[in-house]
Amino acid sequence: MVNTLEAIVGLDNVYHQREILSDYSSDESFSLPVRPGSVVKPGNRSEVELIIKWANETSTPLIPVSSGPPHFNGDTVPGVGGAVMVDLSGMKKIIRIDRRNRVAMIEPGVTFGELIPAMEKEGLAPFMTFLPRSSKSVVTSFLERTPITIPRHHWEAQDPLQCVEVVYGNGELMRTGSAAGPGTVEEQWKVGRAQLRGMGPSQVDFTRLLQGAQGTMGIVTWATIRCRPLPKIKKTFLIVSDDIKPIIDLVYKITYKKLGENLLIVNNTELSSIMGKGSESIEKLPQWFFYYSIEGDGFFPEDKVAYQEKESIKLAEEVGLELKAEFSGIRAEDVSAVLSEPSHDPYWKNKRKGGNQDIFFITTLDRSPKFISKMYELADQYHHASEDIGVYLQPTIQGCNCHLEFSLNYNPEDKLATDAVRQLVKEGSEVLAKMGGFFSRPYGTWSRFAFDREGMTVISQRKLKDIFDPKGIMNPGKLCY
Amino acid sequence: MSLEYYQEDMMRCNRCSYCKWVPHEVMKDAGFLGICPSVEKYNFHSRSASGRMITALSLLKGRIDLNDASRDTIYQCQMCGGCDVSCKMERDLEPYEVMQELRFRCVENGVIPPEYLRITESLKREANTMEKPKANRGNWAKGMGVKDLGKEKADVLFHAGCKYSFDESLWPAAKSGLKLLLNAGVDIGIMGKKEVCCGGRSYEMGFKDELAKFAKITIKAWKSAGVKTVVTPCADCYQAFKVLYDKIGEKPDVEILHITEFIHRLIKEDKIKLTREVPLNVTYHDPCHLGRLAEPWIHWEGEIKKVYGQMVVHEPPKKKRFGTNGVYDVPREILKAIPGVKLTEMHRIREYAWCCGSGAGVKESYPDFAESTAAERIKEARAVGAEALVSSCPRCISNFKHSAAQTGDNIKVYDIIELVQQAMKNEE
Amino acid sequence: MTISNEAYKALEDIVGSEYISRDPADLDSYCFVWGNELLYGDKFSPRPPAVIMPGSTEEVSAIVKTCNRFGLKYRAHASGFEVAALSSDTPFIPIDLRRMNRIVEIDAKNRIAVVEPYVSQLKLFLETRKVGLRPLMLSSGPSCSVASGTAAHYGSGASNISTDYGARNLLGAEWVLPNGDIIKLGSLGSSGEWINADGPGPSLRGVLRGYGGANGGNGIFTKIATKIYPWYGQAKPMYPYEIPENFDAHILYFPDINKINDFTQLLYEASIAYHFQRFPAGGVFLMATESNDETYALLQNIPQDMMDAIGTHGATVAIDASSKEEMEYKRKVLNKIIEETEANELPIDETQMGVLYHHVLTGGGILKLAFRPTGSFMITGTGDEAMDSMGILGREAWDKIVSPLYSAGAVFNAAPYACWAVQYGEGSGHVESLVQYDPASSESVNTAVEQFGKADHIVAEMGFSINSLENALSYNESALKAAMPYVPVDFVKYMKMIKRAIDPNNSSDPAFYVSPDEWE
Repeated sequence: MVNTLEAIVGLDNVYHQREILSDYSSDESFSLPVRPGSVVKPGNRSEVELIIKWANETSTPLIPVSSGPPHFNGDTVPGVGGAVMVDLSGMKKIIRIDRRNRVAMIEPGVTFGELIPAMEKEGLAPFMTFLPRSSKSVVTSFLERTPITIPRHHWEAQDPLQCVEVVYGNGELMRTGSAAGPGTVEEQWKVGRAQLRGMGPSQVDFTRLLQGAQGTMGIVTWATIRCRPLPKIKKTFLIVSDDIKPIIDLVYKITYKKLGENLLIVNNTELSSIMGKGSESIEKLPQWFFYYSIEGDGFFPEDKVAYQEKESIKLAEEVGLELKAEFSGIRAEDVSAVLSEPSHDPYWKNKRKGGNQDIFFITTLDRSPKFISKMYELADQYHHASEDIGVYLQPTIQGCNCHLEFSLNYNPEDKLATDAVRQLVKEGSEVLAKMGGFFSRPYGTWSRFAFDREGMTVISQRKLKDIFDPKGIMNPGKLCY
Repeated sequence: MSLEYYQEDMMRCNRCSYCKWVPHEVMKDAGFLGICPSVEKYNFHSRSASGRMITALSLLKGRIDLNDASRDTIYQCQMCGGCDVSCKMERDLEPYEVMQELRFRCVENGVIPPEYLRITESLKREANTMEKPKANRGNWAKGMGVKDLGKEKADVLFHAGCKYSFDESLWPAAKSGLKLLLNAGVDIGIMGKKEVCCGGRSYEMGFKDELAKFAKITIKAWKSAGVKTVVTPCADCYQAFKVLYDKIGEKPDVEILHITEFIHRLIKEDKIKLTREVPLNVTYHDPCHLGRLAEPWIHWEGEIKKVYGQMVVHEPPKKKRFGTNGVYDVPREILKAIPGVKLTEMHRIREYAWCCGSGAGVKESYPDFAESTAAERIKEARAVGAEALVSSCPRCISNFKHSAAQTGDNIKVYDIIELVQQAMKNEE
Repeated sequence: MTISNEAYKALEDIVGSEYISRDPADLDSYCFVWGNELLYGDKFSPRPPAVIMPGSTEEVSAIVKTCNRFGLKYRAHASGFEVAALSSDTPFIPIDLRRMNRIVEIDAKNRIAVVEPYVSQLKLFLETRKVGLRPLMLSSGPSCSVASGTAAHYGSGASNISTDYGARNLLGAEWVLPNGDIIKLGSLGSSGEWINADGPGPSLRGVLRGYGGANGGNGIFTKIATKIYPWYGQAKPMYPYEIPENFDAHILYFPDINKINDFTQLLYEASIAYHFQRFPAGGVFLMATESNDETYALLQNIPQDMMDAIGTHGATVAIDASSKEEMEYKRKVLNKIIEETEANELPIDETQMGVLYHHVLTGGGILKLAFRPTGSFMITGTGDEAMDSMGILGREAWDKIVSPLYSAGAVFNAAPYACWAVQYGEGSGHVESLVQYDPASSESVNTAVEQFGKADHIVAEMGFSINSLENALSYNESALKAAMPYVPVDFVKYMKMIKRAIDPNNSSDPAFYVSPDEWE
């Protein structure tokens, strides 16, 4: 087995050393650790195709991973023994940046830290997720439908991902959306096409069938990502309150008027973590922070910022809030600087206590307070300190719904604390799901209840799985497969 | 014209379904968007104007026969003309004329609702659609001392129409209407038992010969009586005299007025004074035959040619009838002039008004359809907060009253003449 | 094809005799639609065996199961306003969704509306307007169903720059699969709430439709949730042709394709537009006249050089604003973009402006534009990708496919260049060429058929796109068959595998989708 893989990618790119395999056998989640059989690092699509062909011939499970550690969701931990990790983090080509059409074509190993300066040279900026880790793959972020922090440009769940090139579990190559054809990608460029339209081709949305799939359908070898012109002016604000409801009201008002760019809500614990402040600062801060930016590019950016700032102030006043440049020693500009880049190492979520577990799902802004109350109630029940709960509320799809995320900071050296968090994640998530939280990205044990209530979804997704990965070699044991 | 003449229109129908709705430009309320009672009740596309254009083409191509089923498809329609208004907003087609020709074809082939036979028999024997003896036609005006224009002459003829003449529940309104004019000093008379049907309704039903026959009789009688103006409280008769006679080349050489137009004139001349309070929250229903169907006929003769490749035009240019030039403002101005009356408009009014349901023989042949159509209108009246529904057509009023009784809705239904009379009580 | 008495009775038992028919006069109105003459040489496609009208999801499911049982094909439609809704060379049972016409819910706060399939765009707008919101508005016109643009068919139209492409507005669906099972997409299945259509896991929304919809070939959508958008105009309905508050609209024409391409990009990046479409600037004249006779009289008075100038690279654009300051800013930016791209403004009177607004806000007037001149029209040279590239496609398709029809006098040929294009919110654009032929003229029809027969190949060979809306307006896979020799990845194979997987009996008629059968 090892020899054949080495023939495909070269000796230096196959790993079977125990200590290396150990790194891939578990992650920060409570998923059962399972050691892979080997790790292979392809450098291009052809190698990926050969690996998958070989895996079909030998019925070897493959676990694709594009980001570097730490991993948190259990989706890259093998679900079965004898799997081969296909580590794409070395595929780091930024193939093309198209300023005119505001799109970039990148390989899966490209991180935000690598993409940002490359785009800046072309007068563009990527849409950021919420303070991703330094090793996080941009492609994987958007394959997994991670929300962006600018809801105005988040037209729908697929965004900002457009087309992908993928090798399915059956070994066949596909390019999705408008990238399918006519013509090769290079021929398409010649006629001015930019792989800009992710839906399709034709009457099936092949891109969408890969999103949220946790690598169970195939391996993506490049993706086009929509991006935006670099802003010329940026003004940032913090809006604070002990009560989240007026902030939510304000967000509704702002999104109704299509104001602003970056727009997200965090609690004091989360903000302290982001800014690297110690726990002692949390008590001094109000509970909720709304981070908000107004930006201008193109013609008359200063006019845009001026009128939007004026309107935003007025809207804030309507709900008894204020736009502030600084609060309690925390400057909005500093928050902006932090959020404009990936996290420094160690990953910010682990900084406070050494460990972190996330619970996140989709809901709507107006439903969020009930989930937040419940989360604190559950934390109390499971003896997890409320000050160790970070909350991140990200309006998505232009404010039509939102991503609600709880970060449970804990000390992994503390067995009691660890057990508490484990129970809280396992049982608390289910309580939140029963309350209506939509676990659209069902990692680990979430898949159990996420698929429970809609049997037809399971039946239909298994049919898709049989089409794209008939031998079931791609990341088995995940989702409903 | 003939059905074959309109074959190209049939082929150019694109099945957009606009004929089912009021024109999109005037849609007001999501609950009241339909204009076609037929498709609203029966739902199948064949029950729309487009559906009947398709049926006509099917017939011409020998794809279907005329039989009981296709008869219902064709005749479950009040010929209200709403579809025609909506279609013409966007297209240069004549769906109403196609549906009319389709009915002529049905009559030619003897495929008609069986109830029509009674009506045609009544017309033949008694010169009215009500199956009543013609000798009783003038009874409604007994004791009013009005001139009999069968024997005398007058400037103005009051033509009651079949419905007012024989439906005793409507006699008070007919009498009031005539009395208003008499009291205003109008030199007016009636034909009494010599009055015959205008022929309008039977034309709509598909009997074109009846219209031609009654047109000749009627116009001859008017000439003999020396009338210069014919006034009628009946919207059907108004439309027949003003539009249909002209259409078939029998345009009368007299002024044709609906009673609302005459009353309006007399109010302007200060000969009718509306002084008594009538505290009532009303809405006004535009009768099809006083509204969109009463738009004067536009004759056109010429050729159809192609320009700019395939664009279809007329040489000379042909003006379209949109239904906009019916009688809409006059009744409204009368209502607004009545002290105490608050007029609230429904969502579907004027040339895009919903039909009352009783037209083109539907009341006789598909009574449940007539009733449900009226019920829908009453629902709309209630939706705009009206306590009373006012109209100026005997068939509309009669059908609304019947439907209200059937559904248990106690909405008041008035002939506009009644409200005018109430507003004049002190002047009697 | 006839339906057995047993099968008919079984279907009648579901909906009642009032809502099913096999009378030929009824049936013929379900096999007649514009465009049929291009496919069949006749106004009528093969007559269906029966037509049925369900009133609920449960009835739809029961009908579908019964059709499967008896080996009957079916296909559902809402307004039925296109061949993709009604036509097939295999007789099928049209399922007319007219009775499913409810607006189920409007969540004004989260800007989500849930509707049954017959609800039209304008009907929804009348209700959402009351709460300061609006749905996307396709240019197929105000009568078209919300479901067709978001789920079943396509999604391009007047509002795309501010509401994105139709399909990208879908936030949930209740879907009767081809075997009659009911699936609730996204959060509806998980939590019972209409919040999000994607997940859990890989999104089945990708099977529900792709870029194009399945046109009834993969089951029936009985409810859909759509995103709705801020509306800053009046809450009360406006007519006749009133100018809405807080809006500006312009008709522009450009000296060349590069300038209009630049305008498109700058407008998109400025993020200020409510509406944008590229179309001959004189289109508004057509919409503002009452008849072809009036249009003809008007066109004759326009000098040819003016016609060429306004009829080639034209555009309409509208901006809206929620405040005076916002409008001032947007006007300033728009004027700057106009200046930078050397756009000329077409002066129009108040009536024409009102007509333009009606079109911008509701898609209305489309029949006057597309159908009234000759009786029918069809599109060709379609593409959806980077706007600059689509502009070139428009030009090339015009030259290669449409111009010969113009020269032959086989179509309406007053506009020098009747290409229509829109910009989507996500950044790509759409283009198509309009061809107006006379369905009552065999010469016009036959000439058009001959050209359209070549169009799929011409477009694919040029390398810009797969024609006929990437098969969403293509009959019996003709666009795919023409394109696939030029497409390096065999996605059709997967589409067929998906079709076979979800519709093992091939009961949902696939005439405007893909058949389950492999190509020879």
